[in-house]
Amino acid sequence: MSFLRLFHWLSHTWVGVAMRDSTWGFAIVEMCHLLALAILGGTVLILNLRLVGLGLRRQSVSRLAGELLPWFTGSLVMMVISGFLLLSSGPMRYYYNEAFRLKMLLTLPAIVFQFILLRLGGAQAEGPTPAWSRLSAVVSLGLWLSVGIAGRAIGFI
Amino acid sequence: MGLLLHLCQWLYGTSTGTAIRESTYVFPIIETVHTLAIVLLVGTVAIVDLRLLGLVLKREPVSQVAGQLLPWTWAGFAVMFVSGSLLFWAEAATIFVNPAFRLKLLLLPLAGLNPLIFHFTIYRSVSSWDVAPVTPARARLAAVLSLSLWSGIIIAGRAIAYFHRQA
Repeated sequence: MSFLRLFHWLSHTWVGVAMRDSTWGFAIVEMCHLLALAILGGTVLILNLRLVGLGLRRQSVSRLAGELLPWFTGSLVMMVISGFLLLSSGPMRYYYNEAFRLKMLLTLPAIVFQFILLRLGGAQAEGPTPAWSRLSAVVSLGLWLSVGIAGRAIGFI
Repeated sequence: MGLLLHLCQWLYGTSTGTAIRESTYVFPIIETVHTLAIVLLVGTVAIVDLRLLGLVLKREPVSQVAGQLLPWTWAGFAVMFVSGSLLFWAEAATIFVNPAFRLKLLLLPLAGLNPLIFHFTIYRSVSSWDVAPVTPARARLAAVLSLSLWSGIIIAGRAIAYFHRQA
C-alpha cells in the first residue's frame, strides 16, 4: 500500500475522525507531545553531551546509558503515540507538508542511531571516551536538532 | 494596567518590533530557537528533579548531578530569555491581553523562586543526604513543584497561539 493510500485510510478511521472533530483534542495531545519532548530532549542531550565529554563528566558512560535508557524509551513511546494522534487529525494535510516529510525522514535514523549509541555506550569501559564515540554523539545531536527544527517548521508551512 | 498597555503598544509599534513581526523568516527562526532553548532548560531541570525524587541516577551524588548540569540550564535560560523577549517585542500589544501569556508570566517567577528557596534552605545540608537514593521530603517537594511549574509554563506557552488574535 502506498503512503498516500495509507494516510487517506487513516483520515477515515475512528481515531482520525475523533481527532479532527474534537475541539480540544489536538491542543491537549500536542501539549503531551511537547512535555514528552522535554524529557526526550533532556535524556538525549545529557547522554550525547557525556559522550562528547561535556556535562555529567564524573559519571561513567555505561551507568548514564543504563539509567537514562528507560526514560529515553518511555518518552519516545509517548512522542510516537501523541505524534501519531496529531497526524491522524489531518493526514492529507501532513502528507503534502514538506517539513513533515523531512521530519519523518530524519526521525527514523535519529532513533536508530541513538539506540546504537546507547547500546555501545552501555558496554563502554571506564576512562576517556574514544574519538569515534565523540564524533557519533555530535552526529546524533545534529540529527535530533534537525528533527526538532523540521518539527517546528511543520506549523509554519 | 493602562500604562503597561501603552508601553506594550509603543514596543509593538517600534521599527524593531514591526520588523520581527512582519518578516517571513525572522519570527519563525526566533520561535524555533526559543523552543529548542526550552528543551535545554527544562530537560536539564527535569533530570535534576527526577534525581531528587530518586527516579533516575539514584547512585550518583545529588550535588554532582546538579552542579554539572547547572551551566547547561543557565545557557538554556539565557537563550530562552533573549529569544522570548524578542518574540514579546514583536507581539507586545496583542500578547499583553492574551490569558495564556499572562498565566505563563505568572508561573515564570514562581519557577525561578522555587530553586532559589531550595538552594538557600534544604540544599545547604546537601552533604548529609548527597548520596541518599531518595532525598528529604522538602527536596522532593521542590522537585515536584519544579516539574509542575515547568509543565505549566510549556502548556501555557503553547496555548498562547490558541488565544492569539491579530491586532
